This record gives sequence, structure tokens and C-alpha cells, in this order.
Amino acid sequence: MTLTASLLYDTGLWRARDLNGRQTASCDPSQSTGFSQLDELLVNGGWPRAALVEVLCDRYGVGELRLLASGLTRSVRDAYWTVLINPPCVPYAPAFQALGINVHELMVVHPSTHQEALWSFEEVIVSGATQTVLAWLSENDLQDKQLRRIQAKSKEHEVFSVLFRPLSVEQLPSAAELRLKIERQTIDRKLVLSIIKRRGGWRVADLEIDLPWGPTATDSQRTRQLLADWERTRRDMKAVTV
Amino acid sequence: MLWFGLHLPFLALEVFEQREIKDQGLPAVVTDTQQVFCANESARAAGIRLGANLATARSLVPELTHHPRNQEAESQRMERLVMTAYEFTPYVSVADFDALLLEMEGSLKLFGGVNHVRRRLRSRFGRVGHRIAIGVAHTPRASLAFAKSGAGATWPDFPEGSEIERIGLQQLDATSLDCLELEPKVRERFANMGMRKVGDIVQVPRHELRKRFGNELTEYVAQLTGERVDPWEAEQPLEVFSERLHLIDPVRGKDEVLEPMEHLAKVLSKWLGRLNLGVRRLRWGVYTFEGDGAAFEVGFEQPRHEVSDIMAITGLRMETVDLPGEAMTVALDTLRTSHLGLKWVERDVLGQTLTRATPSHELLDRLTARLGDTALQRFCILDDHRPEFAWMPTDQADARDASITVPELGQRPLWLLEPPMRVRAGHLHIVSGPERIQCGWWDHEQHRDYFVARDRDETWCWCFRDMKGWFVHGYFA
Repeated sequence: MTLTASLLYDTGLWRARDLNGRQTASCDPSQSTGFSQLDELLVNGGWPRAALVEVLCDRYGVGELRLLASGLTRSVRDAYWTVLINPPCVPYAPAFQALGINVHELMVVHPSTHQEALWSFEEVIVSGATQTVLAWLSENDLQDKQLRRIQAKSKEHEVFSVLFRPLSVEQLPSAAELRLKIERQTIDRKLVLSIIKRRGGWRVADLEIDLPWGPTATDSQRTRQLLADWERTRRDMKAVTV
Repeated sequence: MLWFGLHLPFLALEVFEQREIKDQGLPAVVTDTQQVFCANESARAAGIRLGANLATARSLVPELTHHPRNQEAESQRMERLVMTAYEFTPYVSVADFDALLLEMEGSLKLFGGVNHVRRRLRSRFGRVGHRIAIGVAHTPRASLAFAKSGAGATWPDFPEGSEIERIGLQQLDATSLDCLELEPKVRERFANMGMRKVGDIVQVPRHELRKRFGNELTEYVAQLTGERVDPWEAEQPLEVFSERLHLIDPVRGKDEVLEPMEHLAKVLSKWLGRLNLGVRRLRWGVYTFEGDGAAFEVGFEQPRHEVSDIMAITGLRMETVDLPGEAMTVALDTLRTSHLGLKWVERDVLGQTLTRATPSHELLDRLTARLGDTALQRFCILDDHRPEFAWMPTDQADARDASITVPELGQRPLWLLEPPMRVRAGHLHIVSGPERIQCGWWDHEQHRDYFVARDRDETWCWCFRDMKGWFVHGYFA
């Protein structure tokens, strides 16, 4: 790597001509988000190596983890744990294993207060044993300076931290390096995103990316037919027994 | 076999640990039923003899300090000294209330020979406040006799088997009968017969000895010379550490109590090091004078033995503990220890432990200490078709069983709802399915048809229909 390249790679500088996405020499393929449309818009062509990323969505099950999949599964240094702090549901271990995360390296933390959540968030980041942290914090108690602190610690200790927040905070300022908003997932498995904040560029609205895997609406016609038949049979059975 | 007999002539006095007396050489005695049981040098120099009446002793030395004998303290001290002796050899026996036996042949090379061992034993016991007399011999009883006689033969550093016996027997011949464990009456009879050295007895034909003095003495002499084996049971080190520190002044608040705790942690660390153990779980207790207070446990993912590691996790745990306002007693017990493999105790040239706890384990310990045992969840996967039984929370971080097949990517949701949430069928828009999961007649039988559906929020759900109705069981995140 030449001096310029390493300068660009390590220090967080970027060339003005790379503004708005053109991939630079410093781009690291291992960072790729897995979505070329998104890569083109991000500095270094992919997820930031060490930063806080905010994902704004109000619901679960819109493809929020599939969006982050490449960031979750990359392995950095000898880091070990993938940590979920206060997740909304139980992570289904076999599915995480299928995704490429060893379930023995998956840890869920259930803090009982906001203070404990923040403490464990920071503890996990600075431990040197974690590559990725996903967190769901209490929005009522979350303060700006706390976000700034998490961003700074993530940067310093090279951890990919993701914070899930509701859509309502879109207009509020945040120290996160990258802020994404998930608008919706269409029936043909496309995710519609907005980039609210990114380094080296402006806001991007309504970016459409194809989720590579997940359930598909196959043969829904046939399924519905099947269900309708079942319903009818059941009604008939009931009628007979009555 | 090469036996080291350690005699602690001043043990009864030393348990009282009176530094000022030792320093200034003031006369002091320990009495047992009003008779002098143990006297220090200045008391002896003043003419106080063992067995003398306390009144006689006080008339000789009016300023005499005396204590009634504390046998409990003595035996406790001996237990600790056994641990000290473990630093030298694993074969340690308590021979008497004031004597220890060490079998050293195996560890001679490590400690640089007989004379080095003698010097090191003396300084090691000296550091914990005990003077010892050491006897070296080929049999346990002879070594004890030599220790009591105080006369040391010159030993080569690494004696051979036959050489040990030769030197031992030679020294035994010249040893006075006063140093043997004989009844005073027997000793007197020997003296009347003109026998003063062990050599005199050894020469007497055994059947003559048996006729006059009985079986017991003959047996004893045979064991003394090594004609008959003399088995001693080696003490097993205690694998449980339990120490209490009673403070003279009460400590207030968490900062102050840390100091005695750290002291205990240091003692524990030394104990662990001696036995090559690491602690996995321990219990601290902080108590008031009345005995109430708080006890809390601290767990470690990997066996630890360094003071700093133990105290770091303990400090975090303490943040969530309510301690009594004034503490008089601090207690530390180990609940679970495990042997350290060689890899944990490799040391670099500066004597620092090379392999410290890995960050991943340290993180677990820290989080558990602060948030509690139930705040962390880890998982393992099981070979079962039923979604509820295909995974399990666990605290064992073993490697994954590779034989378990995981579902195809995207076939199963990443988020699971525990328990499944009941919904109305009308809220779901089925997009694919069904997949029948019917299994488990032996425990929790399930008959379910799983579908992928989108609910009214456009969320992709994994739902099923069974006899009871429709349920959402997960989200495709």
C-alpha cells in the first residue's frame, strides 16, 4: 500500500473528488455491504470499519439484520463475540448459525436499566473481544453526549457498533457516522432505504436494494387456494359433527 | 528415600507472635497446667527448665511473660506450615504436634542439593516466624531424632541411595538416646545399663531387646535403622480456601473495605500458586461485629490466580452489593477451583505470567460481575426440528457440534418470539408455505403448519397454524 493509500485508509481522510461515492484506491473489499448500490455511496466502499452506525426502523422483520449481514459476519483481529444488547426478540440460534455467525460467539446482554445498558455497551466496545455490537437502547433516556461517547469509543477500539432507533429521531442530530433509515420492504424482497447521514456526501433518499436471500412470495396463489380449501373442509366437518 | 525431619522447638511460643519479646529477648514461657511447657532462650538462660512450676519460674524471673498453651492455635499453625512445606515436596506428613516430615529425594535436584534445601527451609520458615531444627536421614524416625538432637552430619549435595543409608546409620550410632521417642522409664533403664547412644542399642541382638523391653521398642528401633519400613501418610492439601480477617478497627464504606479484601486476595493468590490452582468461583463476606452483613459470589470464566484479576472482577461485583456500614470481619472462601494446565502458568524471564485471561473471557466475567448471572445469555444449537427445541441457552462455550445441520439461509427467521404470539388470521397475508413440522411425540408434541406471511405493517413473519389457531413465531429481520 502506498503512503497516500495508507493515509486514506487509516486516517479517515478522503479526497474531494471521491465525494459522492466513487470508489477510491483505499477501498477495502472486505468492508463491502454486499449491495453495490450502497457501496458506491459510502466512503471506502462499504461499512465503516470502526464507527457507530444508526439504523432507523420502527418494526422488526423488515430486513434490518439482512441489511447488516456482511458487517456482522466479517471477522476482525482475534475478536470473538458478536454482542446483542437488549434485543427486541430472541435471536434464533440456528438461523444465526446459517448466517455464518458461530452461535457460541453470540452473546445477548439484558441490562435492567439504561445506565447498565450504556455501561455494558462501552464495556463491550473497549474489551477488545468484540467485532460487532448491536444495541437497542431506551430512547427516552438516550442523550446526545452518550451517542458521541459511543461513537468515539467505537472509533478508538475499531468496533462496528450498530444502534437501532425509531424513525421519530430522524430529525434529531446524532454523532453516528452513518445513519440509515429503512423505509419499507416491498413484496418482491427489495429494501427501500434512505441515507440520512454519511461521510463524504449528502443525504440520499429512496435507495432500492435487492436483499439477496430471505423468504419469497412464491406460489402465494396456490397457498391461498390451499388455505381456502382447508377452511371449507373444516367448516364442512364442523357441520357434520353438529 | 531421603527424609527431612523438621522440629519446631518454639512453636508453642511462636503462635503468640510477640514481636516485642522476640526483639528484645525478654524471657517468656508457655505453660501447660501451671508447668513450663516451652521457654525461650532468655528464659532458659535465667535458669527456667521445662516442666518447672510456674511459681518457681516466676521466682527466678519476676518480669516473666507467660501464656497458657493454646493447642488449637498450634494445630492451625501446623496446617499452614504443611502448606508452606508443600513448596518443597508433595510428601509432607505431620509427625508430631511440633514436627514435620518431608520426603525430599525427588525434589533435591530442583532445589540444588541437601545443603541448599536446609538453608532454604530455614529461611522460608524464618519468614513466617518459626525457627526450625532440621535432621536429614534415611528413615523418617531417624530424621526426627536428628532434628531434636540438633547435631547435623555433613551431607554431600546429591547423596546416592547406599550413601544415604551409610551416613544415616553412622550418625544414628552417635545420637544420644535422649533424642528418641522413649518413655522416661525406659530411658532410665538404658542409662542404668550404661547405654547412652543409639549405637549401643542397635548392637544388641533383637531378640534380647524384645525380651527385655517388649515388642514396641524393638519395632521402633527397627524403623529407626531402616530394617523395617515405616509408612507415613502424606497430608493431602486442602483444595478449599477459607480465610477470615478480623479487623481491629472497623472499616467504613467500599473504598476502605477494599484494603483488607486485597490482603485476603493476596493470601489466596499465594495459596493458589502453591497448589497450581486457579479459582473459578469465590465468595466474599463482609460482616459487622454482630455477624450480620453481606456475602456475594464472584465467578470467573477461566481459572484465575492473579490478585489483580481477582480484584478487578470483585470491584465490579461490589458496585451492586449493599455492604454493612461498619465492617469488622472480611471473609473469603473458594467455591470452585480447577487445576491450571501448564499453559496458564508459563512465565517469562521477568517472572510474569505470560498467558493471562483472554479478553473474551474477561468481558464475560466483567459483565456477569456487574449485571448479574442472569443478564447474559449464550446459546447452543440442538438437533431438533421443533423451533423451540432447536436451540438452548447455555453457559458452556464448547465448540459447535458439526453434525447438526443448520437450516438453509433465509429459510428460518432471525428473530424468534418466545412464546409465539397469537394473532387473528385476517391480519396475515400469506405469501408462502405451508411447511409442516410434526415432531416430538415423546415430550412436547407439535403439529404445526408454518407459513411465511406479511402482516399489516408489511413485516415478514413466520407464523404457524395449529389446533389452537394462528400464531406468529418469528420475524425475518
